[in-house]
Amino acid sequence: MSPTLIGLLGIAALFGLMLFRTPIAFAMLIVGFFGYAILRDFNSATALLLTESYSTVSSFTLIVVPMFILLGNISSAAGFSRGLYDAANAWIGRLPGGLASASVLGCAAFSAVSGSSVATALTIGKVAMPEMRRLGYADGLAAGSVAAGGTLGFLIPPSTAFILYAILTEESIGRLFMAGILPGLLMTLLFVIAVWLVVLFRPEAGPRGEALPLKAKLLTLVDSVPLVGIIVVSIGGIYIGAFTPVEASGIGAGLVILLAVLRGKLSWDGFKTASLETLKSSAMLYFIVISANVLNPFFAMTQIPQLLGDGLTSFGLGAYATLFVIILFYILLGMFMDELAMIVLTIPIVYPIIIALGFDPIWFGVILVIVVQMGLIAPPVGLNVFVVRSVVPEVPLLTIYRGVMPFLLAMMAALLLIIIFPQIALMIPNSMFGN
Amino acid sequence: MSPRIITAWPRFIGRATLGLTWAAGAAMVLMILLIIVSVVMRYLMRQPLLGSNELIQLASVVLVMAALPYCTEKQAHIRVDILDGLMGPWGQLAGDLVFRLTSIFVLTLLTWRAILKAADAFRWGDTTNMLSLPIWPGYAILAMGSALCVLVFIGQTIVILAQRDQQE
Repeated sequence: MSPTLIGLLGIAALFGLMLFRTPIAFAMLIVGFFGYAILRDFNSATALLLTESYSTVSSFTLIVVPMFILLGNISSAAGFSRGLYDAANAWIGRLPGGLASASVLGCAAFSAVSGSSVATALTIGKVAMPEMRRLGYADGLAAGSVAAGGTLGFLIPPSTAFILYAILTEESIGRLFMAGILPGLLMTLLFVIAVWLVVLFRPEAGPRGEALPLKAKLLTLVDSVPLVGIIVVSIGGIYIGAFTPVEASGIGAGLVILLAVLRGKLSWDGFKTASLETLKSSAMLYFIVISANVLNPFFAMTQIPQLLGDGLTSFGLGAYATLFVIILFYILLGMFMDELAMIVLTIPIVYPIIIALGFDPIWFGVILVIVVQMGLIAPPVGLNVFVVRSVVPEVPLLTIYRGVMPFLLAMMAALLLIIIFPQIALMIPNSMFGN
Repeated sequence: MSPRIITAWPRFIGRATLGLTWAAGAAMVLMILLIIVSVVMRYLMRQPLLGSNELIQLASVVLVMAALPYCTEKQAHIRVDILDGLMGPWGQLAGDLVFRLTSIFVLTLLTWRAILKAADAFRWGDTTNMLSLPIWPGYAILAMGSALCVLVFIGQTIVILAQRDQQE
């Protein structure tokens, strides 16, 4: 049997296992291990298993994963998300649709301490949804703004998706984090415009919020300054070259714990729960990386990535048409598959194609993350939609899906803009690190 | 199957995984402290903390491998569940058993290889470059975490089979 045929059987087994309830990481580990054992030998496969496991769990670069997850979880446990939302609400809540825009801004701000879109949607959703419903916001707009705003957690650094992409492609985490800043701000702006357009056509969907005196507005800013300071220190530290991403993540986590303790907002139980959640999520992500590192040598031996790349380029579609096919493939996959798993499974195959087409890998990382974000709110399995539904179980799923549609269009607009103007993603990293 | 085993085994495994997770938590706190101290030393004392990376990497091994059994016990690994409803109870049972039994096999091999490597590193006195830390504890922790995952899967398999028995 040829290596390619074994590879194709491996892919079939992989999808078979995943559809038959095997967790994605274990499906990849099992197929990678047995595939390698068949193509090489059993002893080499067990050696690969040990080497990849140890090199992954002792990887210095990957330490950003638990540190940034802890930063987000502690911020959430200490209720800092409330401060961010209140500040946004105080300043723009008075505008038509202002609370929905404040939810988007709150999500964007919280994304700067959290790498998880689910955590962002859940944390801001718990604070913003009751407030919007109290003021009579349309359920679709309220839930849509939180579900879509939550996806910013994947784009605005620190982002788990960028970390995974960086590790799988050996690109710089710092460069990718910096590349996410402007697209993240652009998408935040487009989401706010989407809210504004919805309210323009249906003013009753987003009534004006309560006006606050200037003193109260300033107080909300003062309240959110320390957390914003931590964001500036950790992410800004990477930008000016003072810290490596690992140092920034550790400093950020340490400072946020200190801030929470000093303000008396972190109980022992809260710290324990946030830590347990961090450890659970970190172990899950590390195991995905271990499994990807066992699966990839098997796929490389089958030459399937190379054959697929040759096949795609031989159609003579041209670079951008091929990119369009790849994006379409991701959008379709994102409708059914977990977003992080999708990145891990496809990057070993798609990345060489992108490089062969002459695209910038950092820019493609941003494109990929935006497409993955779309999968988070696209029907039928938009994870963030389910997260928001868990906050407001009485709102029908269909209403939330209708509510996210304007934001999906905003994401498409952002995607198009970044494809046409790659500088949006590349300007900051290139100004820092050179081309 | 004895009902006592069905209740006692998961309880024992639950305690063991949670106990090991405390070690993972301690490693996480140690990592934060090491990172902060090394940055402070570099900028304020102008004295880089040489070799801190090696300690942080060892702490990382503890963090992940001591938390992995807890993650596995809580079934926190990402799964595609879109076909669950279509599979029926027998399909679900088959899927659950195939995944667990195959994972037990692969993780047992990982445990075995890690034990051999730890013994080897201990015998030859393998150490890290800067601090000359012995490397065998890292492999021993990997073996321990992986072995506990195997026990978690065995426990889950017993429970799944017992529940199937009770339903029949």
